[in-house]
Amino acid sequence: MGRFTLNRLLWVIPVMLGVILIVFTIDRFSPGDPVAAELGAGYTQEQYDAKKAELGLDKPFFVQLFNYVSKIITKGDLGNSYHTGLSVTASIAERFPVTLKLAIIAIVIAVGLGVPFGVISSTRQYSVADHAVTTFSLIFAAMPGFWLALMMIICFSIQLKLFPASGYKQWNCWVLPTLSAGLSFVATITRMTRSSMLDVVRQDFITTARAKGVNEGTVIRKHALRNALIPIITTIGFQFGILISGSVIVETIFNMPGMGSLMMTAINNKDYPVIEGCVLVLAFFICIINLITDLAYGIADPRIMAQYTKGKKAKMKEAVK
Amino acid sequence: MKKLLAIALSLSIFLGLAACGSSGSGSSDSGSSQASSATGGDSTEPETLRVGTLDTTDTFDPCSNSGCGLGLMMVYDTVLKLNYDTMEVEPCIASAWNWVDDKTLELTIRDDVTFSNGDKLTPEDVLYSLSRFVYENDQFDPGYDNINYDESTIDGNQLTLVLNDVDAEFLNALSNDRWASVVDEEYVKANPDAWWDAPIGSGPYTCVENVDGSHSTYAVREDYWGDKPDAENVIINNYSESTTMIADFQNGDLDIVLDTPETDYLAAQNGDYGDGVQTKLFKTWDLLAVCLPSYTECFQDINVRKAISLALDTKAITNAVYGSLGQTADSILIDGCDFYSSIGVHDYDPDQAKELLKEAGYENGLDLKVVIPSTTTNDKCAEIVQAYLAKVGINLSIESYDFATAIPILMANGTDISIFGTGGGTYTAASITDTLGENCSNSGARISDSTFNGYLNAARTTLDEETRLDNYTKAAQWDFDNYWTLPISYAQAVDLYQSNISGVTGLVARAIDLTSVVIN
Repeated sequence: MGRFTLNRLLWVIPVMLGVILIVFTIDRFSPGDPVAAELGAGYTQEQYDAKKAELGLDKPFFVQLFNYVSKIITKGDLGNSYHTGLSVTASIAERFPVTLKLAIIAIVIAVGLGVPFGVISSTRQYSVADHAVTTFSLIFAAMPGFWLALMMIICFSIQLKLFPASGYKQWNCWVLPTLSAGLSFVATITRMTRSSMLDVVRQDFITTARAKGVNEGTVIRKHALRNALIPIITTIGFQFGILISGSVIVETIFNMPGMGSLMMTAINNKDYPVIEGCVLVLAFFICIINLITDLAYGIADPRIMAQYTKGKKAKMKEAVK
Repeated sequence: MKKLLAIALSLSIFLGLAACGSSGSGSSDSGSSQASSATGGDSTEPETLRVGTLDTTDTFDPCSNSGCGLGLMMVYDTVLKLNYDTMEVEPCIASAWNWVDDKTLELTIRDDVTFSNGDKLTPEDVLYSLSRFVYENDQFDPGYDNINYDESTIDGNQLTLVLNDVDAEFLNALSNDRWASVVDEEYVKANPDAWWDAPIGSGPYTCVENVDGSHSTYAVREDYWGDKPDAENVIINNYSESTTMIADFQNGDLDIVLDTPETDYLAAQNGDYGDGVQTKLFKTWDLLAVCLPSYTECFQDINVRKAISLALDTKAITNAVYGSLGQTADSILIDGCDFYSSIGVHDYDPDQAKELLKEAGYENGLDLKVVIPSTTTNDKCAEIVQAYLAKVGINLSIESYDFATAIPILMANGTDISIFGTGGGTYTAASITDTLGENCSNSGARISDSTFNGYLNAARTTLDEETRLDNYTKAAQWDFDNYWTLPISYAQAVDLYQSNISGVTGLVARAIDLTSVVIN
């Protein structure tokens, strides 16, 4: 298990290097000029050249890339923002917790509603409850995120005055953003849970468990749901990645200083160090989420855990048998 | 093993959430003040002024701040100060001034001013603050590179500034509410990286916290040398979405919202945002214009320029772009700026425009391209201009890019027509015409004609007000007769504030003087 985890963590290094290369290249060759963005509409060629040199953009592409990578490796330094002059590492350190918290609460909401809905829907197929759950989840899946967020502000903030429309320091500031981010994913998790459960509940071992007189709740919880978890975990891991990297709309509408709004501003300003730093950090966390997802497979399915814990030779032997 | 892993995962999630939570709750009270009033919890203390803006606060370095400047105006004092009601320059850090001759200005610096760290403000600090624009940041010059720093002298409290050239608007430059900010030389040199969160100024407030992309908070200085502002604390919340800002205003979580869209202005006037909500209109000091660059070959023919002018219904365009906040432009100088005089509005006559195009040899029409930095105003204006020009046979293709992409194209003569706001948001005739004259680095708006620039230079280099008025009027009339820059609109911007707020004043809607605001 430890070896598996270590192995996966080591794979993060080449992935990160690949991400750096891709993002760095796309940034440098995409339209738009960060020097012009900094100088504004009126500048002379001398001012332009001086600014370009100051930002280090006068050097050849590979020199810029080498400098960037070596700074990250030797000092853990993601550079300074062209626009604000602030350390990118410090900016991300300030903003990432907001995005992470938003994503975690949103995914908890999505899982907390999606999995029970899916279970209800599958165990009472074609019943009123099944139709109600499916309709409810599809409504939220069909709503564009920004529209749902705005409707929530109008309803719960302006009309009912229950929750604030912005902010991030008190608990009640998080209710609307996390709900609007989480509810969109309820449908996906519900549908995945439903279809996965329907596959499992028709299998012989479930019938056997029922024939043996096992309580129906235990049959569903311990036998059916557990065996249906693998695709659900995959979906949750995938959705969590989307929440971490795609929180810009929720952050913008609810005025939360997270990574999404930082990236949007950076993209508008062609602020290369911030864009690259954000993408790098997000890619790292996506790798970690994938690792956690893989480890969660092991918890859900003892057979997978056995594969993690056994050595390579044992696995080979097992495969031969 | 399974249980251990499950516990470890749960623990890591819990710790992660706890860490996220502590990062927020440990600092300022801006979020809590917003939340509390929306939920009916603890109300914010009455002396706290809460302001919403769609701008950023940015750095407190006057040389490189690209935000709204609200923070600078609270933390720093300026050399001189503009009276927003009379538009006259008044004393501030300099208690008096005297022109020794056209190029020599004597300033008497107050000797009772201290910075928030206790350091005494000196004439050396004033000179250093101005010189930073030349020696430390040469990207932008508010007029301070005209100072001969070698010949300028300090004698006690007397600071004598010697100018290289006569500059009629030098006093205005010294009263600029962000660039003329006086910084503490000793502190800046010792703490070159403290601009973001620990700025030291002599202004009425100190910055308590500056969270990029979220908010900044300020506390009044008890030892401030001047009149103490009414609000003990100020919170400036930075929004990226106006709907959220207005929602907070409607909930009573904000006292003032700056530079709101026209729809909110109309809604507030209709009483949709509650009883007693007040509105205040400010000039934007921007001129929306269609500029016909001299490098576009067809514009060498005055008939083509005139045809384009006749093809555009400026009143209708103004109404479509700005609605009730717009005013049809009648000069290249902005209504309200010094030395403005109404020149006139070009007629709208598409039939005559077609005739002129025919005379110029374009009876089969003309294909032109406009490149614009994408903003709501620019995009809207370009589309309407495109529709009007199509009526006279001119096919205008629009290329709208983000700012960083559009600017290099514009600088490289990559647009046939320019559509943008000139004027730079400043109120002086010289600043406005700087964006059109021969020194303008934007070739799409530059008028290179020697007669036009002769008028501008004559106006700029004399202190005689009559001569200046005469020359600015001649320059505006010359442009009216020659159709290089076609003024379309002047715009206004609006601030909304709650019924218990008074004293809202300032030069522009996005950067009002928060030190004068009174909470009743």
